[in-house]
Amino acid sequence: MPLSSLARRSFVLSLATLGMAALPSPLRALRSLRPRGPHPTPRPGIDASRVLPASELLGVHVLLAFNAVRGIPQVVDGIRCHCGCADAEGFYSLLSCYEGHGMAQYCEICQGEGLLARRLHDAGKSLDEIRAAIDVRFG
Amino acid sequence: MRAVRLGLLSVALAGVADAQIRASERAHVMQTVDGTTITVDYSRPRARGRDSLFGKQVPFGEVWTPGANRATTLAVSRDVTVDGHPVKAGKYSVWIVMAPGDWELVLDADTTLFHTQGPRARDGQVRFMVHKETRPFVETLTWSFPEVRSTGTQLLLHWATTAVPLDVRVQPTQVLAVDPALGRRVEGRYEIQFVPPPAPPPDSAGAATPPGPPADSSGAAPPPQPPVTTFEIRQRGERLGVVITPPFFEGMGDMVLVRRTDEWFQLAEVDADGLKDVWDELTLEFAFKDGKATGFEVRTKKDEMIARGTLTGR
Repeated sequence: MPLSSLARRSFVLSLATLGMAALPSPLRALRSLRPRGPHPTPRPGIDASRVLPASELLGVHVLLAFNAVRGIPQVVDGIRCHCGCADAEGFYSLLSCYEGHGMAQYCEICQGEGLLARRLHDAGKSLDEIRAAIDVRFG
Repeated sequence: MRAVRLGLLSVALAGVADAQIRASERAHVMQTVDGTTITVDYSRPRARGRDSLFGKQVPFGEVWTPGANRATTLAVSRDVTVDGHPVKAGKYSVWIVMAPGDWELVLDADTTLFHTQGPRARDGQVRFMVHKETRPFVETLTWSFPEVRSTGTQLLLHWATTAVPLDVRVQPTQVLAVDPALGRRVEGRYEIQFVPPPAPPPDSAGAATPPGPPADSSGAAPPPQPPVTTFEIRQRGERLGVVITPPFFEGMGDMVLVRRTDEWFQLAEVDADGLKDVWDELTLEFAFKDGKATGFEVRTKKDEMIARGTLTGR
């Protein structure tokens, strides 16, 4: 790998560690493998009752993402997760990543989508605008 | 005794059944370019001292698969062009119509053919003439990707002293050009402020995080401040260039901003061929007032803001 590419990776990783744990390397590889598909329709009456509670999370570093999603289940249920789990059995939407075993704890794409969705929702963006932003950032 | 020998023989044969030596061993080469994957699966015949491979071992007039045994296949994950000819995403068997002069390359949708089943001309095939070159001798038929660019790759067939280079171009996922009207909205000089990491949470006993070191009252000079980082963003022709001072690292190439939306941009390095490397781990989210940018936030894929750019001059 050329020196400049190695240096760039080191720089980006060092920037990222200013505010978070180091970026994982699979992000770029995952993006090329992820299936693409439409965003789901939010299910009527969906709520956050199945989102993994804070007491069962493996670490506080994911608390922010889970709390963000917990506040807007009806929005998150209308968003497709770009990490590849969207086609897994039992997964309906990005909300599914935060339910059950809470696989979003281990996936920075799930976390990033949840946090971005919450930020844009709080800024008054519509579901379609949020979907478009997520497709740009993670698609 | 004979039964024992037969038993030993069957055990030995079972062990080697998966490890047969073939005259033309299988091979698989793959190259990704800007998200498009190009894959060739083939068997690799050897020259084995045979001369005049083309025209003799592989007679003129034959529809030959550049490989052996099962037909060589070419798969592309997205639409591409090969020597300027459109090839839709999919998998194809690869054939060459042998001739003393130029060869005709044929891509056929049937990927189950054996090397003796060269398909006739039929609908759905991609057919075009290819250029042959004379190159140093290569014993074993080889498909390779000797050259890779951000916009495509060279796919090379090479056996004995004959080579066929193919120019494969992919559909770009990123666009280098930025509408000048949009570029002028974000032009300016920005001072960058890196956002410090958040304070760690309290420990399990609920105790507050210990305070940092006490302020130095010895009268010693304060530690030197790091140099201020600035982004100078200017539209240069079709490109939205950005000069970062000081550079983030030694050897950092020319940088541009690549548009993702009218408010979101990403840093990218460019070279003589165009886009070299897009830093998609970070996104610059611009804020606007009266149609002009006032600053931006630098966010990671985890949507955490790690830096802020404030406009200090146009």
